[in-house]
Amino acid sequence: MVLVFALFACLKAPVPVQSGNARQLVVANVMDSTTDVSATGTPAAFDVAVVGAAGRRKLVTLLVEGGPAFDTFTAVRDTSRRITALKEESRDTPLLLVETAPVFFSELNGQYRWTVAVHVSLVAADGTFNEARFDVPVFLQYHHQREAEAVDAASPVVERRVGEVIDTWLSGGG
Amino acid sequence: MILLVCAALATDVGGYVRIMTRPDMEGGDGKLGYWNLYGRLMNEGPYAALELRQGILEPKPGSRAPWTDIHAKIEGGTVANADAGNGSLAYLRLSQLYAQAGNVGLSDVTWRLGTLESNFGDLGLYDMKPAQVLYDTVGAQARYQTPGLEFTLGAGDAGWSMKGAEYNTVLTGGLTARVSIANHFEIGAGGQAYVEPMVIGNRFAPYNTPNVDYEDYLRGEVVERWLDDHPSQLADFPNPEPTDSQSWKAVGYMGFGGFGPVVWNSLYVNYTQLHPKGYVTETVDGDDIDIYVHDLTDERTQLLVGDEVQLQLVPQRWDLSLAGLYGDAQDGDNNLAPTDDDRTYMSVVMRNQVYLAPTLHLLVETSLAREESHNGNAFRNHKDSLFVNTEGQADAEGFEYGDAAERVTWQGKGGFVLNPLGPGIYTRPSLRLLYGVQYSTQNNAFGNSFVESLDQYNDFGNVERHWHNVVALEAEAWF
Repeated sequence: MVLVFALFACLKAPVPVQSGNARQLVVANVMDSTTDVSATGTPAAFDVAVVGAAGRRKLVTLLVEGGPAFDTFTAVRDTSRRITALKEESRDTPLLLVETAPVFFSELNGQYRWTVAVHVSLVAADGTFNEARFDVPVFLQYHHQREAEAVDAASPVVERRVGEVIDTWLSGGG
Repeated sequence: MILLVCAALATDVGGYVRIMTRPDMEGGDGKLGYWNLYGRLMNEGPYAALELRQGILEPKPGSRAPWTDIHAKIEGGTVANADAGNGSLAYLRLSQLYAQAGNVGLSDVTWRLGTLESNFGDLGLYDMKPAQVLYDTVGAQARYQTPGLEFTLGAGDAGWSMKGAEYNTVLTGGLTARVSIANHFEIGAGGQAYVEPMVIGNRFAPYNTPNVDYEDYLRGEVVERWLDDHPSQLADFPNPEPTDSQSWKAVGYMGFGGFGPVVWNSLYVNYTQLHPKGYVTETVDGDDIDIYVHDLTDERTQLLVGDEVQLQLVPQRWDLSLAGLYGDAQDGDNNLAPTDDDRTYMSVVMRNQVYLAPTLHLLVETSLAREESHNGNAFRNHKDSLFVNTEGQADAEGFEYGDAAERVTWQGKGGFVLNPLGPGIYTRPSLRLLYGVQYSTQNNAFGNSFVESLDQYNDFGNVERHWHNVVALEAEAWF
């Protein structure tokens, strides 16, 4: 049984689809609060996870953490309008927008359950559009851990799903 | 994005499960020891909980528009093939059902109607919530919450929870307040009060049978002694006198962390004046006589203090969680018999989790506990202890039990944990392969089917066993 446990732990992850040549990808991560009216950047660890998913596919990422387009996100909640605003800055560079909305579920048997709604949008230079929408249930141990920590805790799942969106784009000749 | 949230959260299901097999070659029921005082690990059975959140009006990002949802939770401690209940639905219950609404009338206030609850958190290693109020209440609650302040006020009826089929209204109200400072310090306090009013004529309301001797009550001989003094006058046995009952609890909490290796430290305290009991029934010559015991059970108090600190000793390599628990139960009416209402207990639990790989962990836990009865012997230390009680001697009229007033228990547990989501003492799901060992001063100090009577002793005999060994294969997950 111990050997089986060790075997599982040592399994290697498959190598993801990789970009044939070094190309850039503009990345913007947003956290839409449901408890106040703000839209802010995501925690650093979340950014690292998303950028890492792209980096493992040989993409050179440019992380948007501020600027005129980003500053409009509190007022602009529609995904397509956010992409339009970002495209005005990124021009012909492919764009990855990851929007997150954490919602408190309840305290569940000793842990605080949150549901993080995620929308991943990838727009290629030629306008090709790939997206994924999914929820990530996360569990936080302490009361003072709120929305940012919930988004942070969703990072491993989001990283995997972002990778799948990028793979779909690259497999289509992106 | 708004549409995404609405679609995603219309119906949301969460839950918690734990299941294990712990074949016990020493006659136990699969648990290493008796209860969570020695740490929850390997001392708990299977459990399943399923909670449904049905959104009616979803919260909208960027908006303070009203929202509302409904929660229903079903839970219970049985799973097919894993315990005596065999997964029977009879052991599951609809433990929570409530409707919530936010941004209605007052901003930052969540209204709740149905089953209530407010607590300051969990002692994870013990699986206890020492600072909890309103969990037994159905009623209405309001919670004001901002990043730095949380205030909860609730009121309702705890009669069904406290008295079940012998329902009588128990009015209750409770509140909690918590202040958070910069995500590094929290302090909170709260309380709950209960009032069970006098209702003349309702036999489940509080009454008191006059002039009952506590020893007679313990022996179940109140009527018999009265008939000794009043032969053939059972019809004149004193009628119960109506009264009312009150009880209360106070809770406190302090938390700090987020610096150095200290992830978080939580200190909880709870002081409770227990609610007086209703009645006991004695049968004499085929007649059932109810003895109302308000005045015999109205001096019971409980103090519970618990602390748990989680340390990240070597990031991504070694985490440690250390917890302590102290409980003191006093029964001012009872100076005769050892009971759970008259004892002191304390323990420490330490869990180490070393990350051999991100998904493969080594878990090592140890605990030391001491329990002491205030009213004499309560534990059997030897295989022939069922022959003795008072002061270690056989006394057919004695209240004591066994030959020791103290039980000391040590447990050690260790093994491998497979965590697909990576490091973290409380990261789940976890698949665990564990070995646990317990030493107790009490003989056979675990759930078992060994002899309990002299007849059984004559047939089966008994064994002297202070060490207990269990191997466990477990799975635990939140979802």
